[in-house]
Amino acid sequence: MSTRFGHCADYFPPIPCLDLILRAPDSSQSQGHVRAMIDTGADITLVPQALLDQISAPEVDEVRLRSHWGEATTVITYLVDIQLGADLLPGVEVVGDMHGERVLLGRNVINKLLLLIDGPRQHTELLA
Amino acid sequence: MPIVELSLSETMYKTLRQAAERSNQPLAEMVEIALEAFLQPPTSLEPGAGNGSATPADDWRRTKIHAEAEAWRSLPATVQRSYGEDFVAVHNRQVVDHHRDRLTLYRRVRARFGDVPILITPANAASPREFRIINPRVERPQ
Repeated sequence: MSTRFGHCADYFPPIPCLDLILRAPDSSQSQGHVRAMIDTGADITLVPQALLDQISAPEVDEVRLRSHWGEATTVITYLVDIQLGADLLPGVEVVGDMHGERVLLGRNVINKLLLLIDGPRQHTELLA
Repeated sequence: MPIVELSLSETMYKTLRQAAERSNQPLAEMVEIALEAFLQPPTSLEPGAGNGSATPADDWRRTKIHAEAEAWRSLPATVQRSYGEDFVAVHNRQVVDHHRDRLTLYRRVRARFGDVPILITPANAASPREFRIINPRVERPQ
């Protein structure tokens, strides 16, 4: 059994994306069907700050985020439950991103998933 | 030391008293800790850090996390190492709990202290931890 997601076509070239549901740990308050870009270049997942505020995600840590060009900034991380299809990833640490509008799914989440990225057909399958 | 007389609501007084009892602090010390967390700007931040603009309540929550992180970093290395590979929970500048599993620790401190920001960080990692985001984008002139 697998779940299939189309690429995000508003980027060129299109980016592999997944739909997910975000909620604060053990909470029923959620943000559903959020599009998340699969970003293997990101050590950690970034979530728009507005989404974290809407679900009242709890702050947990202070970390440094360093870009490809070397600039670093200090940011806050949060704990969230991430639901992908039928799978629930509880208590995932994510960075609050004030500037971005998309979830960037980093390797702290990607490495827990079995994914088949079909570039020519522009879709990604989440394999059970 | 200057002495300031405060008039507090009964609810605020009870909240402060309970927080002081939980962390074994005198009430006056608890007031000072709360004011410090609210007023003291984080010293380690660059301009624009802290995830951008926010409401005063959001700012207070993030400022408290930065203050707790500073408190954790100020502990002697021997104390930090004593928690091994556990995550530690730091509240009001004190380690209040620790556990191997971050989510379990979060649930425990949430049950004990309620919805207040509490630093939960791996004891054996450099603080602050550093993550890389390698995603430059190409922008072509129109």
